[in-house]
Amino acid sequence: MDFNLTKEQKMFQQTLRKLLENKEVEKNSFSRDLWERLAELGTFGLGVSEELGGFGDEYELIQVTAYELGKYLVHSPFYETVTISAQVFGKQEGSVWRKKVEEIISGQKIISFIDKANNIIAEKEDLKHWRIYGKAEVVSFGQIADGFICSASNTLFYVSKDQVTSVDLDFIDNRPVSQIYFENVIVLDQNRLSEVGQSEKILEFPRKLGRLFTSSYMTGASQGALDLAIEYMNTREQFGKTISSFQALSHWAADLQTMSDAALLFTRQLGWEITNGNDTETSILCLKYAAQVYKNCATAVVQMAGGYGFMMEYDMQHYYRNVLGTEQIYEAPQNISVDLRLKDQKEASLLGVTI
Amino acid sequence: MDFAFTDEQIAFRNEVRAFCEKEVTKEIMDEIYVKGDEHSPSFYKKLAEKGWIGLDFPVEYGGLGKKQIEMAIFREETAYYMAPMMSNEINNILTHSILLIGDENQKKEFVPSVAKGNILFCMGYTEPGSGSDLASLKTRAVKDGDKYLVNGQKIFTTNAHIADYCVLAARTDPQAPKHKGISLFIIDMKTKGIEIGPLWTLGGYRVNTVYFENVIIDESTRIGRENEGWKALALALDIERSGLVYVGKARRILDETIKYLNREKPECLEPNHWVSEKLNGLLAEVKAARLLTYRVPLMQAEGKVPNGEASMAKLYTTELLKKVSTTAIEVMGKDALLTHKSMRNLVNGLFEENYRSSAMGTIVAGTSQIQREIIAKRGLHLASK
Repeated sequence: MDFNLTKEQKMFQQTLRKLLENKEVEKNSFSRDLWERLAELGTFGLGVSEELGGFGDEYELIQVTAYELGKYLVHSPFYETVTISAQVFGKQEGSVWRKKVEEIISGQKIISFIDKANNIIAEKEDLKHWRIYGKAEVVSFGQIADGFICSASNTLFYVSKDQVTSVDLDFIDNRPVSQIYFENVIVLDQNRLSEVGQSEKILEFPRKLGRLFTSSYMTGASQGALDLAIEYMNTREQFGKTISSFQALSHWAADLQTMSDAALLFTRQLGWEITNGNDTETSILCLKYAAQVYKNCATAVVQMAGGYGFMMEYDMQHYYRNVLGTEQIYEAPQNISVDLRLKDQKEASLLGVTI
Repeated sequence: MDFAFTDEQIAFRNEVRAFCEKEVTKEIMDEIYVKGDEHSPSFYKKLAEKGWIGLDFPVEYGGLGKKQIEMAIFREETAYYMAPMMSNEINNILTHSILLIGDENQKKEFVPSVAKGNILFCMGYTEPGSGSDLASLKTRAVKDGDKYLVNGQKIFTTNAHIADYCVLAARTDPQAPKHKGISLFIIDMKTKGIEIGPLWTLGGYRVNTVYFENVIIDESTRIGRENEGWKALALALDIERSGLVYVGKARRILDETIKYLNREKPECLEPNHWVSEKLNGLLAEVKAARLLTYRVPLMQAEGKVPNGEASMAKLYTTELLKKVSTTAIEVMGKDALLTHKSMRNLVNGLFEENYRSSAMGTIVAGTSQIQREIIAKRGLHLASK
C-alpha cells in the first residue's frame, strides 16, 4: 500500500505545475493558448487507449491534472472533451470517430456535452435520419465547441456546431456558457453514439472519469483557496499580532486542511480504483465528499479574510464564485447517490480488498 | 500508488474478523457493561492465546513482530466488532515506551509477560491540573540514595483498580524546563502508599483517581534516564492518535444503521430521501477518514514522523464517530436509545452506548482543540505571534 505519487507521476505534476505557473493563469478564465499547451503535454490522451493514440489507462494522471487545474482555478472543457467525448468517440467503430479522438488529443477540437437533464427530444425522421429539437439551458463551452455530444430522448448523438444556434450567457464565475437551440436538427443515424434509449450505458464509464475529474478539480481548488487563506492569516495583523495567532481562525484552518487532505487521498484512491477496475461506489461518494469540502473551503476563505475577502481585487472571491459553478455545471453531487437498499445486509461499509 | 492490501494482510483481516465473530459474544459485552471495566479477562486470555497482545512486539521479546499496517488492521477490525480492547491499547502503548527507552532487564521482565497476557498496566500520566498541558504535571519523585519518594495524584486513570503496574510520569527535576524534568517509572500497584478511588464516566466505564502518598520505589523501576521520560510519553500519544479505533467503530455503527433501516424502514433508503442522503454523506466521510488513518502507519513504515497527519486522523475520526453516532439515532428513532438492559433494545444497546462513549474520543489523548493546535502550528506553520 502506498498513497504517494510515483516518481513519474511526480515529474508529470511538476511539469504541469511549471506550465501553469509560467502562464500566469488568470483565475476563472479559459485560455485557448493554455489549452494547446495542455495538449502538447499529452493531458488529453490520458485514459484514451494507445490504439487510438492515447496514453492508455493513466487515470491516476487525470487526478493529478484535474487537481492542478483546480488549484490554479483554470476553466477548461477537459471534463466535456476528454473525460466524456474522447471516451464516447473511442467506443465507436470507424475512422470518422477515430479521427475525432485524434483531434481531441491534439487539442484541435473542443467538444461540449449536453446531458439528459435538458430534455432534448430525438425522433426518428426516416430510416437514416433523426430529428432533434429542444433547448439546452446552460451548456458549458457551448460557444467555443466544435461539436456536441447530446443526450436526446436517452440516446446519444453527435451534433456539429453548424447545426445549432448558440446564445452566450453570463455565468457566476465567468465560465463560458451558452444556451443551445436545436431547431429540428436533422442528424444522420450514423452520428448516433449509443443504442436507442441506452445513453446511460455508454456513459457509465465516462461519468466515472468525469467524477474523477470534477472531484479532483474541486480538491485542488479547496487547497488553492486554503493556501491563500493561510498566506493572508500569516501576514495580516490585528490587535498587534498576526490573525493566525487567533484560535478562532487557526483551528478553523486546521479543520479545513484535514478535510482537504482527506479529499486528496480520496481522489487518488478513485484514480487508482478506476485503473484497477474496482470503483463500485467510490466515484459517487468521492464527488459528494470533494464538493462538500470545496464548499466549506471556498466560503471559509472569504470570511477568514474579512472585508478584503469580499473585494474583487483579492482572489478569495474567485473560489466563492467557482465552487457552485463547478458543482452545478457538471454532475451535481446532490443528484446522485449510492443506493443503500442494495447494500450488503451484513457489512455495508466493508470495503473489500482495497482500503 | 497502491490502495490494495496484500494477500497476507487480507488473510490477517479475515482471521481477526473470524476471531471477533466468535469471541466477542453477548456475554462478554454484558460483562463489560455490567462491571463497567473496559476489560474482559476471558476475552483478554483469548487474545493472548492468539499471540495478538504482542502483535507488534519484537519476536525476541515474545511478540509476533508484525508491522504497522497489520497493527492498523487489528485495531480497526477489533474496534469494528466493539471488542473490549482498552487494556490491550494501554498495554501496547506502555510496552512500546519500555521498548523505546527501557533497559534490557526491563524489556526482558515486562514485554514477554505483557505478550502472554500476564500483566496489566495503567497509565499514570494525567493529573487534576495537567490534562492538555501534560508536561506541567506536578507529581514528584524525589531521589534518596537508590530510592525515590513519590507524592502526587493522578486522575482519569483507566484500569488502575485492576492493573498490576502503573507506568507513572513524575517530575524529577522541578528546576528544568517542564518537558525536561520528567521521568517514567514502572510501579507495582500493590506498593504501600497507593490509594485508588473510582470515577464513573458518561460512557458507563470506571476510571480512577490514584493517590501516591510517600510511596517508596527502587531506582531500578525508572524507565530510561532520569529526566528523559517525555520522549517515551510523547510516543504514546502518537500511537493513540492514529484514529483507527474510531473509524472502525464508525463503520460498524453505519453498517448496523443501514441494516436496521433496510429491515424496518426501507422507504428511508430510497435515493433522494433525506435519510439516504445523510447516510451517503457519512459513508463518504467514513471512507475519507479511513484514508487519513491508514496514512499514519504508512508514514511510520516509511520512517517518517506523522505529526500533523496523526492529529488530523485523530481529530477527524473522533469528531466523525460522534457525528455518526448521533445521526444513527436521529434516523432510527427512539428505539436506538434503549439501553443494553432494556427489552426491545437494538443490537444489545449498541447505539445508545456508543453515543455516550463516543464523547470520550474527542477528549482523550489530546482534545480536539489540542489536535487543531498541532495541525495549525506543525502542519500549516501558522504563526502564533
